[in-house]
Amino acid sequence: MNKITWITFCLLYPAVAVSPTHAVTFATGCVRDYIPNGCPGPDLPATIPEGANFRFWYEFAGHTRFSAWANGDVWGSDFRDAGNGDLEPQGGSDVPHVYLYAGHGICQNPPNATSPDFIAVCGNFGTPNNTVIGDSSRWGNGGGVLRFAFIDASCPMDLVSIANQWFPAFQGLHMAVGHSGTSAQDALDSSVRGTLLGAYTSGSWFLPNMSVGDAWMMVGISDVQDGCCAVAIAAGNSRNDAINRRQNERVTDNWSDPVPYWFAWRWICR
Amino acid sequence: MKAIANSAVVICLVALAGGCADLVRPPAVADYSDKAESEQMRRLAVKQMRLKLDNIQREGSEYNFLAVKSDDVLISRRLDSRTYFVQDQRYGPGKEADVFRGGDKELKKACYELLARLGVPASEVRDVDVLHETTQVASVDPKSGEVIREKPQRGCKFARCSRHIEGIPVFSSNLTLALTEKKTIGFMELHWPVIPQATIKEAHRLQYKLKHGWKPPEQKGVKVESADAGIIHSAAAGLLLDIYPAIRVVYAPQTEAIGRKLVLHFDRHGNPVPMPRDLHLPRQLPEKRRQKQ
Repeated sequence: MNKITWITFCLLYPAVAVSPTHAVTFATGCVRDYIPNGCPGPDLPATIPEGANFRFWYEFAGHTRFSAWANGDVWGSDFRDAGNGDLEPQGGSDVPHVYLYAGHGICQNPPNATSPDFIAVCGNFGTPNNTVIGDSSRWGNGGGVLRFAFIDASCPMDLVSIANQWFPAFQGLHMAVGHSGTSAQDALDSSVRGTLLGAYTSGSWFLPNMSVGDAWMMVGISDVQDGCCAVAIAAGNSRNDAINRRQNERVTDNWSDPVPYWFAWRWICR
Repeated sequence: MKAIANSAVVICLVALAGGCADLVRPPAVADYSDKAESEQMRRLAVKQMRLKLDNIQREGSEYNFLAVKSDDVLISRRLDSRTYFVQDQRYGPGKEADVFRGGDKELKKACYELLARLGVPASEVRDVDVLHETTQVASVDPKSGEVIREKPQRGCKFARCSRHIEGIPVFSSNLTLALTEKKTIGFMELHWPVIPQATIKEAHRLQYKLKHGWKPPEQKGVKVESADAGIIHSAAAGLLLDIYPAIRVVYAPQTEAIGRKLVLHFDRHGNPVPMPRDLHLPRQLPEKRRQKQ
């Protein structure tokens, strides 16, 4: 290989090696420190590497990082529609196409149809720390573009209350994933779910390139207690559209935003 | 009797002339070329995993992965671990290869057979769980907001296989296997690294310690829910492979409602065991702090 060929190869190689069908913007919000900041604990040491690993796979596949806040820099208001908190230009969850949250949720024992689902951060600003998804989270509206919400928090997607808590959140959002459980059927603090979700959904050529629903069914039940369920939900313009997204939509597909007339969800339990 | 003896002699001679001759033949010179590596990978796909690789689109290595991708099938493996990934793009409900519709026993059997073909000792298989997916659909009336739910449906199923060695759980190893309708591999993640003997020995020691008075260190705001001795290691999709013997302690929050339980790993002295690394990431936290605008 002569010098010119070698230089050309080196310049072109990254583009050839990482060529996602459609590049997206993504963000992570990972909360490890709860107790030092006066929030109900415990601290969650695996959340920080979980976010870092997720970002590695997304960046490797050619996607663009929007934000990567950790600990007190992840604010409760990032997940709320009120006051355009979710459009806050440094870290709002409705600004990127993909958002991974790793941190606490709140479980009921057992939940019922009106039980709230929570994202529970420990922020420096943007309080209150707890966000009730069904009341306050609206993704894809008013200039927001979030397509995929990955909530690795335990109990943020209880099956019994999914219509109350998650249907209203879809305002252009394509899909969301989370867990359904109780305090005795909880997700454990582990980096493996986010790591594998990043690897399998980002579109690297040498790893499985899976739909969001398929990937979460395979990895969402890693390091969870018996009885805890991995849940993936999609909205659609029609019944078939919702089912198609639930089964087949990939992060890299660049499908248009659904009008949320129909919802299709799938779950698998340990 | 004489006839049987004669037959035995003939069988032995045939065996010596054929397969057994390999035993006495000097070993071939190992081929470490790119071509040989590719051929090994293709053989692995076809012989061990019974995959068809029609029209190879791409093959080669990336970081510590080696992969072959055909029009429909991806197979890849790590260079530093007994870790394999398979994905058939035709797998899935309603897709060309569809999903496995046989019984749980058949799926479990497929797991054992596959593990054996990939060189995993049967004694290391702890449990094979068959997990059934459920699906549901609902519509929302745009005017009234009324939600109309359809009945839940049975979705596809897949198997997850856990690991132990000499009774010691290897928490991070697993086989996840989903089959197509024709029982070929639809999706597979096998992460089953070889564990050093010294690690296994120390895990036994930890198991002994746990049975003889070892107490998990207390943590603020939580209570001990469970403690188990075993082995932990890095995740399947990673560039590094750390392996540690450890006592895994699950802590339940004292404020019961808080979810995502703390899990810590300790050595025999109650010191923290490092979290296995998956990737080489020099900086994990942003340097700057977020400012209120």
